[in-house]
Amino acid sequence: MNRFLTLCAAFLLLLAVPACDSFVEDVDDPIDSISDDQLNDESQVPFIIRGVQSRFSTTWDRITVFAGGLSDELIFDTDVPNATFPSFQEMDDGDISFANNSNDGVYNDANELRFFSDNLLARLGEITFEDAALKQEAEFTANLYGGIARYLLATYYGLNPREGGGVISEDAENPGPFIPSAQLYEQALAKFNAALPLAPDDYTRRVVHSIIARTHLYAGDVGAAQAAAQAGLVAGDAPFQSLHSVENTNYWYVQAGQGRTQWVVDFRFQDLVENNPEEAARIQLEPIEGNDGTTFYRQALYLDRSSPLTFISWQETALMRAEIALRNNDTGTALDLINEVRASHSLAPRDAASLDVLIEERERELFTLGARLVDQRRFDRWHLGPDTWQYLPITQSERNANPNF
Amino acid sequence: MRYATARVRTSARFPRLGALGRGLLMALMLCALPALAQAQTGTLSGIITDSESDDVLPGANILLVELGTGAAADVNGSYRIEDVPAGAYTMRVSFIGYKNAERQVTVASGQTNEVNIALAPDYTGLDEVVVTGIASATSKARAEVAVSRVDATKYLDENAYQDVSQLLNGKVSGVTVQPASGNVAGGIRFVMRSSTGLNGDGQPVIYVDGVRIDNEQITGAAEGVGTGGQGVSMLANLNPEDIASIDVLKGPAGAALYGTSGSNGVILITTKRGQLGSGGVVPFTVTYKGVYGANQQAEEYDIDNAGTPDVANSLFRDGLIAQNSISVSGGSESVRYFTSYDKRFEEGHIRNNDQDRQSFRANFETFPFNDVTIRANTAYTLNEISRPQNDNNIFGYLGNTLLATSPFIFTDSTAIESLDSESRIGRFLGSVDVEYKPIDRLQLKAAVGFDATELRNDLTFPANFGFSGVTNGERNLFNRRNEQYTYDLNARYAYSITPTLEANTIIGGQAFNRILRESNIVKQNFSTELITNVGAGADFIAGDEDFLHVREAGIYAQQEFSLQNRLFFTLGLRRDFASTVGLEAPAIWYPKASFAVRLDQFGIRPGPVSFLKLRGAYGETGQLPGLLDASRLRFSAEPSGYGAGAVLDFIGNQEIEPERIREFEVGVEAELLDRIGLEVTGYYQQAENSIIDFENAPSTGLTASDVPFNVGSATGWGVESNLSATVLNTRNYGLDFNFLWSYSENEVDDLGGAQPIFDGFDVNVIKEGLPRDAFFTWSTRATFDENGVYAGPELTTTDTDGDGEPDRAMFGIPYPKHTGSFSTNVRFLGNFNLYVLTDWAIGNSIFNNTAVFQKIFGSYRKRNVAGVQIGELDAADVGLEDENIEVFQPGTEAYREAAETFASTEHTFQGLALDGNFIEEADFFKLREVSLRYDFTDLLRRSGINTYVRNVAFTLSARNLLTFTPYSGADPEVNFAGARSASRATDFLTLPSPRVIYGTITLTL
Repeated sequence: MNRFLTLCAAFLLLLAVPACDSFVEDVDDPIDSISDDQLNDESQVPFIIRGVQSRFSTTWDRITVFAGGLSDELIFDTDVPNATFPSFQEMDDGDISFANNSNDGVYNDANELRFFSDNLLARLGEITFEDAALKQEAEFTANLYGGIARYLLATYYGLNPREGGGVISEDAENPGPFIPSAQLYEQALAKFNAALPLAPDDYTRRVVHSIIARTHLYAGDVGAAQAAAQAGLVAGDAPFQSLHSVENTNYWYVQAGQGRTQWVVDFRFQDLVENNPEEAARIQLEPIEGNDGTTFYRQALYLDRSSPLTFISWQETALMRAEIALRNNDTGTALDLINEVRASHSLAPRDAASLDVLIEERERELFTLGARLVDQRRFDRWHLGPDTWQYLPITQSERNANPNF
Repeated sequence: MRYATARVRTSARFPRLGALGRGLLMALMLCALPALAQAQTGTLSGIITDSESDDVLPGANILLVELGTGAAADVNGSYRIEDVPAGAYTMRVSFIGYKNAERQVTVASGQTNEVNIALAPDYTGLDEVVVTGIASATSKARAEVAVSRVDATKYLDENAYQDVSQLLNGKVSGVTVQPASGNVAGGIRFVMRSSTGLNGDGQPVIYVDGVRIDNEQITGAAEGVGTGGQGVSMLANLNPEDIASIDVLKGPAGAALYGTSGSNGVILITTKRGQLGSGGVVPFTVTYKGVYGANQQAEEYDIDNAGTPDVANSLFRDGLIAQNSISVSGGSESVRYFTSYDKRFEEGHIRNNDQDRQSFRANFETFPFNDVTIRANTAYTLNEISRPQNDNNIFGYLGNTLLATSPFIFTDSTAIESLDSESRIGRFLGSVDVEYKPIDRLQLKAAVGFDATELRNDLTFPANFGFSGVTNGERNLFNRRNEQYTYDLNARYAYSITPTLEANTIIGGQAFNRILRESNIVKQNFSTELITNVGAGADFIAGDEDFLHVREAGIYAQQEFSLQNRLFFTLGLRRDFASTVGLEAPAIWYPKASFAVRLDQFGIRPGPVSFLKLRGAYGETGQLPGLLDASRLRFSAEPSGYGAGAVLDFIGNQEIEPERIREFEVGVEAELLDRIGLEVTGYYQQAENSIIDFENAPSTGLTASDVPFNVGSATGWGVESNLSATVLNTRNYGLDFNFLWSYSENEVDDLGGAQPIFDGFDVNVIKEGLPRDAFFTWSTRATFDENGVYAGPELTTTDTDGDGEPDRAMFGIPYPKHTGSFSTNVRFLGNFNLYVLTDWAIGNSIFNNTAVFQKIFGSYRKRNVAGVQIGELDAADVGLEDENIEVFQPGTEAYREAAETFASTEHTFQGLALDGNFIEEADFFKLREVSLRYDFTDLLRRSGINTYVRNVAFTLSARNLLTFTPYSGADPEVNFAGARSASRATDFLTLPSPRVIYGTITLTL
């Protein structure tokens, strides 16, 4: 009997192995994600392109808010109702910890933007295209946003409080070294230049030229900036913007606007727009009562979750040209360009152009657009102490995971 | 006198068992006929009594071992077994709470042999049958692994518990069960032994009547219905009143054959069953339990731990507890049943927190044939839970009253009160199992179980109140449906290899299937607060759904040997299968081995020792990887202003396999003077192949998820002990106590080169050389100039490892090294019973993040006072101008102390978060449960009205009556991020546990 039962048991156990195997494998696939190779199809390319663009929008809005906070554009004050994040306080103070988790998110997004763009470019080789225009659009997108990602790292990130630059790692096993801003700008320019011939129309080409001009200018190459700016956006051109939606919200609305007001604008902007309706139309503000009775002011440009946010405009291009003219001692051209920008807001013309005037105009025209931080560095107008950060720090996560640090 | 009688059947036992069965039966009968024809029979009868009190023991079981049959004692303790073939037999008498007794008896033809047996009380529970593994149960005296059984009925006589966690906490050595906050129906975290495994959330697998149940904590934070950190526990849907007992297998040594996922132990809950009445009396028992009481604020806030203590205290209330529970149970020889209805309404001690739970249960057990048992257990629970806003949350009650020096600076109080995160849960829990003995010594068991939970959680921000981030109101809906199917099949064959060597062979299989569907939608912009349906919101904000389907299966075999009932040895092996194991992973095998030696049977009985057992066990289990861990890269669709785009969602590792946890335990159990039980167990756990999530350098762009690798290892060890004694047990007086103490430690050995893994707040770490989840951060101290004047803070550490950053240091661990409890029952004046349970924890710390934010908002009194004392702060600036605080002179000791306090209450320095300044000792001693019970039964009997009412008792009880702790916050046991997070023991505006006072009346008809 024992032997019979033992044989039965052994037979059952043997049968159970394949039965268990097929039982556990018979499960329904997840509905919310697909594997990497499922994207290697022409029909999925528009989906991939939108992914790159989506990551651009989540990066750009936050970078501009944080750059505004680190610069003298925005103020963080716990007397503003619902201003609570210590990570924002650190930014306002220029005393930013590597582990600042608000910074973590945007640093990761900037690098993801770089990866998505480069990954799209690499993936194009795996896909057989029938639609040449789609292929060109994909290639243009990959280069443009690949360039923008590098530009953002070069402009807003730093190894040390006063040393700008970022990191690019092609191989997860072997992360890359720190790349100073100058080299990152070069890489960005290579990408932009690769995008130029792929641009679908003249307007888009002018956008790329303007972006190239700004990159050169921030990199300190005035001559190259001049040539690019000449080919850039012109009066009447629409701005090139990051697009937002209710589910991919504009961060200005979410943390520095009506959604939640953790950041308010520096009081000098309110002084400027008071009794100046034209300026008030350019720099739109609204009051918010503080817990201590102080009246603070927040931006009122982005009143909606889906308000778009300008990345580059013809006005900025004009002001770049004005700056270049000033550097070339051509104050007449500079004044004309500055006043052309002012006229677009029905503002009275300036009498004279100077670097101070230009800086003032940039601060106002490029309000909320991430330029003030760069200008404070470029024109030596820093408002915080000597050891404070002029960049957002390369994060603790990078420093932990990257043996080059 | 009515006798319990039983006729011995030596003939057919399974008349309707199919052709094969019938054939076998016929053959057996033909063989037996000549014997039957010649059989001469006699009768056995007698009385079973308590050896100490001489009380009769109705319901005691009498078994003639050789014949496998017997009888139960009637209400007078008498038994009678007729038609026993003449001969010599072993009579085994057993009764719950008494030690088994065996006698050799002889039956002579045509005679009645009277055998009276007195059973000794089993004070130490040695003869209690306990679960020792997946398909094994044995008496504690033979168990080869450390087993713990909580006899729920004993505790439920004297207490009424909110949920099963309260039934367990303080009652099992080496296991703590802790709610994450004072929320009614909030999340519960089990800490099992040393929690050595690095993967998963450290939670045990929980079975109710053989059904693996959903033990998740639902916070709904990602779905818009979060309340700042705390969740709703799915365990809150179990009615503790239905529970008969809870068996706990604490680690892999006991739980190996449960396979993967059993690494954190297994909790086996058995619900109540109908009892067979003794003496042929048709039993029918109706029990009513009524509870009325209140949840109260245990300790008021004061100026030392709250910005506006009076306002904070005014938010608390006496939350009503009202429970009515009725159960009907009984049975006959062929059917037993237990049915119950329970309704418990309970308000939390802070507004907007309550639970309204109704549960129904029907358990049936039937014996259609002598060798077939069919059980059906079904329960349905309807539960409505409201969660208050607290923790990391600008809409929270405590956030708006503890931080700043003026209240409600983030959100208006009426707006907070208008927020109600309401969960409505329907849960069906059912199982059917069949036991069948086709032949003698072979037992087959098949079971299928189903646990389905339907949860709907909604949260409305009314349009007529202002909320940051909300435009004209918001409506969030979250739906979750979880289905779990458990299938179990096993066979157990018992046989003798030699006359002294007995063996059991067990083979079995287990399968588990889980399907989870979730969906949510968020809309804003409602024109009126009077209409709140989601369709009335003008702005779509978000909507999503989730789907998960996983399966697990396992087959196992176990071989048990027993030599002369004094040496026991077991070997077992399980092969595991799971959807979540990578295709490239090897086959998963889990072995186990265990032994026990009854040293007392070998004559080793030093001094007063009456029982002495040495046992040892080894087992392996594992912890499964995540469902998609074995995928390389996965992309999801992200809605954006450009349309939905492909974004990276997950970065996996195709070679991933389960974490493996090995455990070796050794224990000694002794009984002294028949009434003192002592048990000591030591264990050593080792986790290997632990899945360590590697954070890619963000510069790779691969940060959508961390990447899992099987590279980690950790060790844990500990000692558990249990001392119980029955000091006195007379008719009118009784005294027993139980003392539990356990010690555990663990250490992360290897992360395979990965960077330390931090929680979201960068303070709890998994790091080589440190205990799991240790607090690992920075702190500061004061510096002074040459005149002794405070010169600012400095870090307490420097950069000794040369990485360019000051070193972090360990600031304690978020769980205790020592835990213990002491409970006692004092019975006096016959009918009074006083029950007291105290428990304590030593060696744990807590991060007071509330204090960090009080510092940021300028209300941290300790700092403000110190700042004024050293002249760093102006008393008027920090609201202390009326307190005449003395300003100390530099150079004095008082000045130095104040300066140290000031420096050690900084929250950032040189860009580092100084959380170490706010990590405090969290040892505690709590007077956890106290109850005084008066039993009116004797009174009823004396007054002659016990015909219909068998038992009435009234109990006055309290919970969390006193707490002693050095922690400056309100409760050292809380965690702001709920009961599953990597952030642990962090108090951040978290609701402390309430003090509970209640009265209970129980009535048995």
